[in-house]
Amino acid sequence: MKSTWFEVARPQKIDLNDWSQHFRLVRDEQIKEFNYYHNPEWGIYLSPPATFMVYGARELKRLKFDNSLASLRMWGFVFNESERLFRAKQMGKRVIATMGDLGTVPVIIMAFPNCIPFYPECIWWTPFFKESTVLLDTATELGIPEAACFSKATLAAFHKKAYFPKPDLIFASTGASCDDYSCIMQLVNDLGYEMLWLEIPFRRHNDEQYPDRFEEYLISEYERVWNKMVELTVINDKTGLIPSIKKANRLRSLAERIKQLTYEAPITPLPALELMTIEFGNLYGYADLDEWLDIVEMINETVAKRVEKGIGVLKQNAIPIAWITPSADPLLLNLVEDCGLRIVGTEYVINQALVPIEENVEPFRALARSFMKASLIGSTQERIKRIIEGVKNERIKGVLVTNMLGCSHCAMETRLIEKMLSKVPVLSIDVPVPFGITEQLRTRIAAFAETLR
Amino acid sequence: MVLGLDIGSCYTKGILFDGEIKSKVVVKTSFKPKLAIEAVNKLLTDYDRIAATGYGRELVINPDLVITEITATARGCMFINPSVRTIIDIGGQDSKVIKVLNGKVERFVMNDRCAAGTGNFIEKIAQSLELTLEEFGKQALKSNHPEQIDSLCVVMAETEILSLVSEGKKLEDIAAGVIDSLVRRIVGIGSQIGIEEPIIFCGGGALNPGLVKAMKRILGNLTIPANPQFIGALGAAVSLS
Amino acid sequence: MTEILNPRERFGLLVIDEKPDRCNIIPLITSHAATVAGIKLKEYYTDGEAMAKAQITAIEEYEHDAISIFSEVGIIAEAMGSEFNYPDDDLPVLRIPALTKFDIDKLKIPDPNKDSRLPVYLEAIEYAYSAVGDKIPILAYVPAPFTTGMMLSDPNQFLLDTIRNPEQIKKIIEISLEAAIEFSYEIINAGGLPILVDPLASGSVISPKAYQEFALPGEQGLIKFLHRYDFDVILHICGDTTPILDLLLLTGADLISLDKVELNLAIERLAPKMRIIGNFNTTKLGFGSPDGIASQVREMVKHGIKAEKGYIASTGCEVPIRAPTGNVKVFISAAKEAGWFLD
Repeated sequence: MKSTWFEVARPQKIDLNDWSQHFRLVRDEQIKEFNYYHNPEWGIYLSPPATFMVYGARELKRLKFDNSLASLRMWGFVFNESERLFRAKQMGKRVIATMGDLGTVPVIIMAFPNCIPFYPECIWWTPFFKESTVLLDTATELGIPEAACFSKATLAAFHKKAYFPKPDLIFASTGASCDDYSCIMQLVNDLGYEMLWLEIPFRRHNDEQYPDRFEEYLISEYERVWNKMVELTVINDKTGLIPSIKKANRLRSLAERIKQLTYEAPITPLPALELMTIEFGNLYGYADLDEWLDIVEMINETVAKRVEKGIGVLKQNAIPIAWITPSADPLLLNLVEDCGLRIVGTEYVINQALVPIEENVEPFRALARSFMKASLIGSTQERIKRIIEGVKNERIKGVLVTNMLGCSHCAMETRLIEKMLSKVPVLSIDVPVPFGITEQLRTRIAAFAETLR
Repeated sequence: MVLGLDIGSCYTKGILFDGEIKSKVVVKTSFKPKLAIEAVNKLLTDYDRIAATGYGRELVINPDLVITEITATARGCMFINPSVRTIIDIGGQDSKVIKVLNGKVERFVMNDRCAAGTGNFIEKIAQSLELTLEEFGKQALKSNHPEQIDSLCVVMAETEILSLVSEGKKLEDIAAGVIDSLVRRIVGIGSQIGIEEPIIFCGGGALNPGLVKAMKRILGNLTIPANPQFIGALGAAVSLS
Repeated sequence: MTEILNPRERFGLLVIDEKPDRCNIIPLITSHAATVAGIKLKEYYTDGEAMAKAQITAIEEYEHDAISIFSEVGIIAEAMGSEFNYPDDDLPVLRIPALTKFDIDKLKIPDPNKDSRLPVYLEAIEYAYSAVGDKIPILAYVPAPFTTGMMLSDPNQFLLDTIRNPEQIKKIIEISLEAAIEFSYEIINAGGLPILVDPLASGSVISPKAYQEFALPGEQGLIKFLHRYDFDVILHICGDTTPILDLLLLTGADLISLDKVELNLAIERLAPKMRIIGNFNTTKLGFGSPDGIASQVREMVKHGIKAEKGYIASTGCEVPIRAPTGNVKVFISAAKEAGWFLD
């Protein structure tokens, strides 16, 4: 069932006040239609951005959103995650923190009934959505230097116990994952949280192939994850991995399809912010994979319809660029589009969560192979391979690199990337602290757009 | 006739342009860009179109063109010398190095996070040495042995400079050292995109003879356009003409 | 007892049925904030920025858990045409009710961004939200339709008409509901969490039957609107609500703020479904001794935190404008001590 308004509205980016106005036309039945964990009593989540703004997400007053019902549904669901995790625990589900590996361990967790994986590090968006340094300051008080990655908010969240419930298990992947985050995980450990440490293989050099033993090694790490989960749940049924991988693949292929539709359409059918949110949803389905899959299906339909009709949210003359390393501040994505640019390629350091998992080999082997395509462990050249191709065939006219304070993947690589992309203008910017976007930063992005025009 | 307006953080510059600069004015912005725009409007009235640039560009009412100061500066310099390859612009709140090729901006870098790479750096240090900007520039010109100043931030540099003063170092050498340190920083960020000749040095910083001397010493051949602080306004006007 | 959470986090946990570091403490510090900030009341209720700053001063002084944007219950009625006197250092006083000047058909839904002092409240919310909204919830009090209806009318006439001309009263309430919804809508966009206040629906003023027939539907209508946003809704009713305790369950409110009710009784009847807020006697806060206040607050909180769906330590009514600040501090420190949850 759809409200009339959604059917007739021209695709566009709208602000919080617009959303509040349109939300008045959403019928009560429509609100009740969507529930997380299939619970109609307290599982509704179709709320306008104003709801979450009132609860403290101040940046929502300044952000612009896609105006489709599917996107409204998506935002309601994404912003509701904290509540969802607490409810999961209250209803007897097991909440499992998976840290650092970005995309693979959750597939194993989801093979166990009533087990919900989540990424505590995704809390790094929170200081930006709230325009608040509360979590960052608390992390500093807990011993992380000020100049560390924004993912330090995770430590504060573990300390405060107000952003997600105490996990039943924690898997922490270290090694080639972000250096700062490895330290953060150790400090979480020091807070008294027990965790099972996993090791990620080192980063490859250009075109270097990993020795076969690495695959075997990763498989043995996944066995450790499995055994720990068996210990917790007293269930040991590896056939559960098959539907779990199938679901992950379904999600990955849907996300890929939405991305391709969006990148290739003459008029951008979906804003970059929503697209980034979809891409990151691949990591763990925002703690309710079934519902998330349903949402992504709905977005896919919306995007396909828009493409078919040749309508979208940006001007036709928007200049296509690629984006390397995700911005912790969502407002930057808005800003870049406001300057007349469109995103047609991304390298958000989560490739391992985007690639299909082989379904015709033994599950752990398939997962190991998918993980070995990780941006985390890949060489710089590999990370930007698709972008270089896009530049070669003139699909990508410029590249934006966002550097994150303290991020090991940023500090070393930006200059390398600039060199490798010498045939195309590159703008590299440091993501400022929450509420820190200045007029000068806007000017820099606007000038970059002018350069490309 | 086009009014080219460059609303910078320190000064607002306006020119009237119809193929050449007919008249020009400069007023202090002083955190009140709207008032500065009004003041320029009162002094320059004989125009039919407006092109705006600078950080206050969005505040101009009914402009015919709005562009960033990067594009404006590049166009202004290319108007003066079409074969220019590198532009160094030192302004009050930011500094930029712009590479141009075939009439277009190719790449640019900006120093906008830290005052130590901007004209503001010299102003702050001059203040703490109780000199006017002009006196500071003249002092620097006299020096043959600039002091080495390594601190990367204004606050730290200030401390370092005060300790040089207390060691009895010559004021002219300190002033020249300060300017050298600024130039090194600009050259440092510029080297990210490569500084190639012909080079134009513009912006308010190009009015400082000490800074010009140091730039020439470090970068060799570079030209300073007439009215270097009006290049942005000129570029905006040129873009609309 | 080192506090780990800020008020925003503490309130967030309460509304998802989780235990924070200590119980939420939100005494109804409304116009009393003007006293804390040392400004005239007239400035407080006519200047949004002054109201917000006074609230921020109060929260810095007391360290309680929410900002309360409110001065008096006539605000919507005033924007609909009732006239009030503005004493220099006292709250506005109803002078000419709208419906004594014109007919019900002439009542208009006010524009919260333009009419009378509604923009003052919106400005106060905006200001407080942008200043401290990341750390502190901004509660904005919305007079419920029954209360607004009474402030639109000659109060005696209004009460008489509940018997003589009930249709007329229902019509007034319907329009007042619409006005309350429009005001709430703008409050939300500004960053405030609307909380319903229906002091004139108290058991001290009307019978349970009248409550059910006239006040309850207005409360339900507004709560339904707020539930569309998925908010947990607070309803405050002053006075003695003992006779209508069971009816309160029908409002749909998620948190019920009570005044002159036996706390244990309220917990027994309401706590399985609602979170309980209350209910320290404000007269004691105004005139009691610090020692007496401390022990009574501790006793109250000890019972309150037994409420199964959660509890907010609060006052039964607004903290008296000129209550000694020392007494309020004692209230808060006693509640913090007795409401500490961590080991």
